[in-house]
Amino acid sequence: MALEKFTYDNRLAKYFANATILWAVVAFLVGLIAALELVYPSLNLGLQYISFGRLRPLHTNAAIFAFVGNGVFTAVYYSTPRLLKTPMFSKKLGLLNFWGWQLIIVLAAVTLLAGITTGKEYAELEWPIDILIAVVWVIFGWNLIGTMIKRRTRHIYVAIWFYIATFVTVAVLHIVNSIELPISLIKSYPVYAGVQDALVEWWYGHNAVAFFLTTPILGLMYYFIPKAANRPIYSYKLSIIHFWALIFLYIWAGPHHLLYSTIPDWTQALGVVFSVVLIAPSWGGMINGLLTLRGAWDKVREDPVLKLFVVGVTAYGMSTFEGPMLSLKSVNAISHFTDWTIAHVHIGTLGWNGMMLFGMLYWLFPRFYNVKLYSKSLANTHFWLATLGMLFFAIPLYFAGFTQALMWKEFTAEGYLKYPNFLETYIQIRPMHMLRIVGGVLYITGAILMVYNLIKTAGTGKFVRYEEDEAAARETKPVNESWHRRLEGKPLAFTFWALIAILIGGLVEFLPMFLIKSNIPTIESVKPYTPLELEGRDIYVREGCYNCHSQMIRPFRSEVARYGEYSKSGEFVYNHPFQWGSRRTGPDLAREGVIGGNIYKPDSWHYEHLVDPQKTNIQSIMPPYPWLASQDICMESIPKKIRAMQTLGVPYPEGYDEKAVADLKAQASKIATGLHNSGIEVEDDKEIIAMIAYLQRLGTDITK
Amino acid sequence: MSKIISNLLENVPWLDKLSSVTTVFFILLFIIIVVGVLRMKKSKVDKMKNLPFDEKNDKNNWL
Repeated sequence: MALEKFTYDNRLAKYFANATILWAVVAFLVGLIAALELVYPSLNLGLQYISFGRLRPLHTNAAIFAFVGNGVFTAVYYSTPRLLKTPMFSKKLGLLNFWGWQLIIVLAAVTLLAGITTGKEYAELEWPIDILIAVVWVIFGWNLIGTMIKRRTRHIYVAIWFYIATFVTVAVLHIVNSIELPISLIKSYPVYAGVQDALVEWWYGHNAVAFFLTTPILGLMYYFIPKAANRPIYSYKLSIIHFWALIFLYIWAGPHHLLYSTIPDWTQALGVVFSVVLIAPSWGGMINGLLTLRGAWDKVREDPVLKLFVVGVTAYGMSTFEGPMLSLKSVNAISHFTDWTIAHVHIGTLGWNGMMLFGMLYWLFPRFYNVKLYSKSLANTHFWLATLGMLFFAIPLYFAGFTQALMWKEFTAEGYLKYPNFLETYIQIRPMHMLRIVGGVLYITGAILMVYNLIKTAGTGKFVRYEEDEAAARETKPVNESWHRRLEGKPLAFTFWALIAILIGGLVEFLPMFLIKSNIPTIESVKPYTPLELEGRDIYVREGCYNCHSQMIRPFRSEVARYGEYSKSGEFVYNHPFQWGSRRTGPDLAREGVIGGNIYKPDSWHYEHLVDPQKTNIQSIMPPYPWLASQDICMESIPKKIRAMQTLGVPYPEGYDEKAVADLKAQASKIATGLHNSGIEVEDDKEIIAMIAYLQRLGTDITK
Repeated sequence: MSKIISNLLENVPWLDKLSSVTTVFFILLFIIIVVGVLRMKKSKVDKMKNLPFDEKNDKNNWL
């Protein structure tokens, strides 16, 4: 058959690679600053824009969507044309994809620091950016599918399967979790509330890990490891089995983020079981990656690219064993809300995501610029710094996690909490947080060396934009193919079946949760928030309080003793969004407002604590929020918020939006008067009044 | 109309068995996939494994 000549255009892959490097440094730097603020809270200089609650979402979004996102696009735009023997479908779509994605990142940075956030982890971006993400994602998918349609190869290689799964699943996750009711350009409420919102959010959150941080990197692995080692993958058959098993099973695992919460037991059980079963296909991927290097281990000794890939894949194996272990209820009872979760996440992100992307960049740049890598020695140094950095990050946090959990749970012989003051547990782990900073510094230093090395490589070479290749036109359909071979030759059908595979888990978990009322028993005494409390709640979301404080008391003796009655699902029915949190750097707040409760504080304490936490607790690491005492409540938005809540089914009386401001002012005036009687002068239209009202409401519904 | 649909869906008797059914479905499908894969021809498998190497400008040692 005659060979057709064509060229690959490296421009887009280069653009995405450069963006990956830039955002890597930004994401790591923001993470480092956030880690420093956890030890030295005064580092936020009293500025709301760089307080921990705003920086942490910026770090997670930058690491996931900016760094890994651009890295994934680099891998896709480089490998896809070569695997399909055709240039990308459309250069224009590719450029739109690139610039659209960078615009999303910049908007994310600006809005998150400004406190414009939905308050849902890894989905903090508000609705206009969500729409932009959907548009750019469609453009990406259009380009990918278009390229598959005009391919010359008969069958699509395994890396492309993972890119397909990434595209369809992220689209579904993003659309479903982002269904929001806007009330302004910068504010919306999710249509879901409480328990249902939690389930949707962690179905999304866990599968963002699965289909944004795992499947596209597996696709990258299946292309770049064979290329770097000059050996075919270990087992194509294993790749078929682990691909379908992985994409089917991962979706079910979301509830493992909500163990011992108020989601129904059946959902928790599904999350546990499927998380444990997930070890198999995950390790299938790890085994395939590592055993590809059979017979090439001598190269690993000399080649920093292969070293990074080996540690990256090993970190993947570690994370995907640890994750299922953390999903066991007995282990989760210890680990949840502690630093153990943070350690686990960072083995995955620093190890699997980081090192695979670094390896890919070191492999790509010499080829982009037709020159040897500027310094193999610097690349090796980067490898060691990254590895040590990851270890120095995670190991102290393992100690911190265990320390916290065991201190939280310990009782004296007389049956009282041994460490009733939450702050005692933080003080104990502070040195471990300092060690974690050392890990972060090592990691970012390695990244900076990489930046230097790649810039020098580019500087000494000349960019090769076009690379020629030749291949025969696509074969006509051969006879006697197995069913999977036939499917590999039909990318649209493949995409369809991948979509079906990922939809099943979500439907099984969602349909009963949304349709069967008994999953969330009604509590008659639970009432909607007052307008002032609603405003306070929005401020709580804006400041990112959920990044440090949970609102979910688990049914453990130690938690009931420390915080009060354990949480009930019916308490959260009007919570748009839910704010259960996933970390306790500070204490749980679910029963903060219960007068006479274990953790109740008067209004004056809350005022002092919010304005200057170290005044109430000298060793507290909570950042100060002095601006709450000077910024005015936005009265104009109150009627809109009430109407939005009514649309979402919150039973405010008809026409209440017209009375809401008056009710708000009346309640605020009472609080301000009370503060005045305690010697604190603050006007009743300040945000701090709303925040106090909200905090004093927490947990009181079931004590009425 | 939406009330009719949601009333219907709320009373679907098999909804609580959905997770068991889909788990069994997955196990069966998994077995079918494994059997199908084990029976694949070696020549086809080798051809797919070597797809990343079929490039004209493949230079391996850039270090």
